[in-house]
Amino acid sequence: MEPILPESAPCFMEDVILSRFKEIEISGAGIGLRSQHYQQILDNKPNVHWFEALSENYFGEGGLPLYHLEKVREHYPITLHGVGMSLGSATSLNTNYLAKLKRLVDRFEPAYVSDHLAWVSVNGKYLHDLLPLPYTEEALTIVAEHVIQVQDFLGRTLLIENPASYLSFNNSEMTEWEFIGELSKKTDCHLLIDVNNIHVSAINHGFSAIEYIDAIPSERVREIHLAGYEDHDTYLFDTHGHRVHPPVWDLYEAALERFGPVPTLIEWDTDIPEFSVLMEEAAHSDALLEKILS
Amino acid sequence: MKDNKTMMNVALAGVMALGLGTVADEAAAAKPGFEKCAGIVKAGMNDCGTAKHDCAGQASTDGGAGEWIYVPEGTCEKIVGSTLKAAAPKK
Amino acid sequence: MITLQQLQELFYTSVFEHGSENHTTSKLGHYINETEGLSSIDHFNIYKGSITASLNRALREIYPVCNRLTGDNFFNAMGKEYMRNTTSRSADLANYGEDFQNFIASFKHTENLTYLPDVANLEWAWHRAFHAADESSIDLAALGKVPEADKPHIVFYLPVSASLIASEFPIQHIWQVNQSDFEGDDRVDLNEGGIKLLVWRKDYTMRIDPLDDVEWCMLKEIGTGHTFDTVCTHLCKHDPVLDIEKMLPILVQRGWISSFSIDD
Repeated sequence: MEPILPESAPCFMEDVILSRFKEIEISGAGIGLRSQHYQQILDNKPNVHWFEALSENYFGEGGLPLYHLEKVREHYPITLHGVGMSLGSATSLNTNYLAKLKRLVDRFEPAYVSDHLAWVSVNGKYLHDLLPLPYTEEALTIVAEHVIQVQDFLGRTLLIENPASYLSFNNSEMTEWEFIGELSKKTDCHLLIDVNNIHVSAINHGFSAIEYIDAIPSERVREIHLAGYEDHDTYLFDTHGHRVHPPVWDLYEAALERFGPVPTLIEWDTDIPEFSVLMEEAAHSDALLEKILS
Repeated sequence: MKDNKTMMNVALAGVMALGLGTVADEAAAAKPGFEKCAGIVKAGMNDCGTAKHDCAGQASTDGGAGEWIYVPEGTCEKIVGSTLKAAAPKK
Repeated sequence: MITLQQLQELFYTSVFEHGSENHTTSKLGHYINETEGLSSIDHFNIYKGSITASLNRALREIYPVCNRLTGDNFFNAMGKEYMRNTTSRSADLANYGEDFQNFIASFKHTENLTYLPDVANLEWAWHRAFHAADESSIDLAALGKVPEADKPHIVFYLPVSASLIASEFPIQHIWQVNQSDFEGDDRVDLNEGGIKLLVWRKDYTMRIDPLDDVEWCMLKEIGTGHTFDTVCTHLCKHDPVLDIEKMLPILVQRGWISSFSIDD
């Protein structure tokens, strides 16, 4: 005999589960969470819309990093941003990595989960840098398969970020923006557009940053990154160690014109300054976001 | 010589006494070690900025390891009673 | 046509190729565009420099005392040799450098710094403890309820963060005077002799506890995962006999024993 199911079948269960956090969604300008600022953030609860945590920095089993992230998350929404997924690896993704990421996602309920259009490892051997891909049909197929695999595993849409790069391969068959456009079509992924990276790569490879921005499918853009580069005369170097440079602010305004008031992150990784400097950068970003809204 | 059973029971009884707050040897329990408390925050090791290379890193790109002269020049000089000598440069 | 995997393998090999033997690098160069002012190899070297710097920075963060003892230039050069010999298998840089002490022990330029591998061992233990799982203290109520017949089968555990470290050198003293916030006489005499340590984390507090011989033997024995009965038997054979009746409560109270199970 067929069992009689209650009318409201348990397929709605997931919607019923309440989040243990007040806020999930993000808007406005956020700041990259760095350990140097934990204490200040927790002591003063500065008026920051959201924080972005580097996923791999919370892959440990326990201790202070997870303690601090837990405390920050009690007061702010967060996003999780990764550098080690290696979506561009010709070899298979690291399932142990994905399991650790899922554990973090389940625990901290980020607004977004993102990683880069880059490769970091080959055959399980890691180089710990965001390495560029040749933009070929072969690479597109591989990256698309990986993005779909991750989205299926995490049960959510991934944001893919455009990298800053210092070399281009001569066997590329399309531009980076064409590659990103195709990738988003194939996988239905969302995009994290790093405006600083577009500027750095445009100078390094001699393409038009505006042409790049104009080619991005704006309905898929969920987040923007801003950071400061270094000028090394023959190329720009994306150290994330400076304030956002004027041409990048200009490009950011152009990006907002096209994409709308997308949540924007201030990133700083090298020579990390006082928290107040990051607050100033975020305020600048917020002002431009409000200008677009009005 | 005592049997294991007696030893285990006495040892466990001692452990249970901790819960009652009656510890036989308070002084021994509070042995001072070196501790570094909550103030220590290790920097997150992963980030997505491009790393700047150091001078030594650059040298290795330019030349081979064979050309390097390995002479420790840190605080190891403050450690006495060792046989520290500067390693001779490779020919 | 080069496949993506071939290109990535070529790139990987080139990163760790010595500057003087650039066979693989020049092969890779054929696939990289030149730009004004930068050759294809120049473009590649930006990445090579960045990767090397990242790995060296990771080693420096895990082994700050070794870095301070040897100086930046030496440490970076040693790090470069290490990374040629050691593949990183994790996306998380915090997992890099586990066997650095073995490398230092075999590295000919540190052979006169006899204590350095043990200092590295201490630093890895510290790093490991920092990231180890959180743990509450032993469940005394549950321990009190263990039936008489099960008592011989109790297995006691050291904290998951714990490492037992012995050295014939005064590595704790060396470590201490090389902390960035240390003030005072920073000279160390190796003739002070060796030390035995328990490196662990109690809640969020990092601890380095010096052990006497009795404590060391007890923790070593308990750390093997033997049952309580077997531990008692072994400790009785020890010369001099180790008094577990007196010591077990002390070890538990200090937090050096943090959990137990019943061995079936």
